[in-house]
Amino acid sequence: MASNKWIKLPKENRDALVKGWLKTLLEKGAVSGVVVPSTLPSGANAAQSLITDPAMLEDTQPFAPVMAVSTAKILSRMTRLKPMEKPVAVLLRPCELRATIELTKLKQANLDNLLLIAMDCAGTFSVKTYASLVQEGTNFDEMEEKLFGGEEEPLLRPVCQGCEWSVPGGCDITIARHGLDGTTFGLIAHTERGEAALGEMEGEAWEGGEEARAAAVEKWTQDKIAKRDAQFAELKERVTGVENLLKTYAACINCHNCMTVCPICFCKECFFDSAVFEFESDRFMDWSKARGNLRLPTDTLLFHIGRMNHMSTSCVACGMCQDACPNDIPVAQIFKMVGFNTQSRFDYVAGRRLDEPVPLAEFREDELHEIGGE
Amino acid sequence: MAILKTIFDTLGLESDRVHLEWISASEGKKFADTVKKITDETKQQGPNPLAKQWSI
Repeated sequence: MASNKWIKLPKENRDALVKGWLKTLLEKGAVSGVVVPSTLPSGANAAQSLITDPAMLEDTQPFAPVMAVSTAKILSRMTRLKPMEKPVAVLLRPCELRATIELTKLKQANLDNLLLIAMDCAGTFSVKTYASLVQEGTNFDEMEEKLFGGEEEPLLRPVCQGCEWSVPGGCDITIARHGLDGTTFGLIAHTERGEAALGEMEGEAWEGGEEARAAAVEKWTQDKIAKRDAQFAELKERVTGVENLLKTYAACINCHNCMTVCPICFCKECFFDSAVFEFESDRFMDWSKARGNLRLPTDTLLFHIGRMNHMSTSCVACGMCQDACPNDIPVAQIFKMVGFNTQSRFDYVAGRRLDEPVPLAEFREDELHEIGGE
Repeated sequence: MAILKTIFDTLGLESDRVHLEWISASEGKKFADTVKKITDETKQQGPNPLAKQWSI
């Protein structure tokens, strides 16, 4: 049953209010655990953690604009073999939620007993950039307000700068900023489970929220789509075509970090790490003789194109791959552009809906005749 | 196949060098015609520019 509870609270107390609310849920046993970023001993970073002791919520940073690991990958790890037995609250950014939905459809995660709490997101920084901003004493609340006000921030991760998905869909509760003036933040329950959890939170009713929010989200999304298209146009110029592609991937050292951190790449053994890519010495000599030279390790471009072929239809453009690239290849941006096109081919948007099957898991009689014949 | 061709088009690679055709064992003529068509098209296209690249 769809629910609809809208409340708003003072934004300046957002951190304390949300922590206090999660603490109450944990203390009352409404949830048995909370997945939320905790401050790491360095003080300059936050990493996802599973909290069972309410006191530990004190040292968390629910809104730290950094995403060390995609929570989707963590939820897959935690629920694939066995769903949660008791409710666990999870705090997510929209791309993490979309990846979680994608993994659930791919049968790599189970949403049972997960209370999904997701926030409006204006973008995140890479772990490195975030750490240096913390050292500089950056006021992230002020910065977030500027971002929601439409200001650009060149230090944000490039995929975030052109991300049109700043609003979560498919969660139990949204922590909202769009549609408000910055002095308050909103809490919206979308499900019965969400409404029950939100019962523990006192707040002013958010009258007219739905309309105000829809208008703000529409404007934001159009602005970001324009930014995304500009990024695509610039990328097309810089990375496409044989020569540009070889230049772009020249810096690739075949470390496969991009695959390791990808929430969607769930295979236990990647095809490109498998025995299929082990060859006898003669093969290397033959390949080299055909061209006079052979780049080693082999199949650098093939790995990237192969990965696009395997998972671009489920790519949520979270950008983790680009953060993990030691040589700053714009892998996430290229992936987003490719994924946008492959998903469009099937009228699909990765992570949009739980009840929309992934393209390759569904047969439609009336599709793609131009490829496979009548 | 649709995905692969879309990737090639997005990356500026020649997607018309990739073919898929379903041909049953009893359709000898269709097989011969298809192979001839692919061969003719490939001759027209000339050598694959990636074939000369050692650093792919």
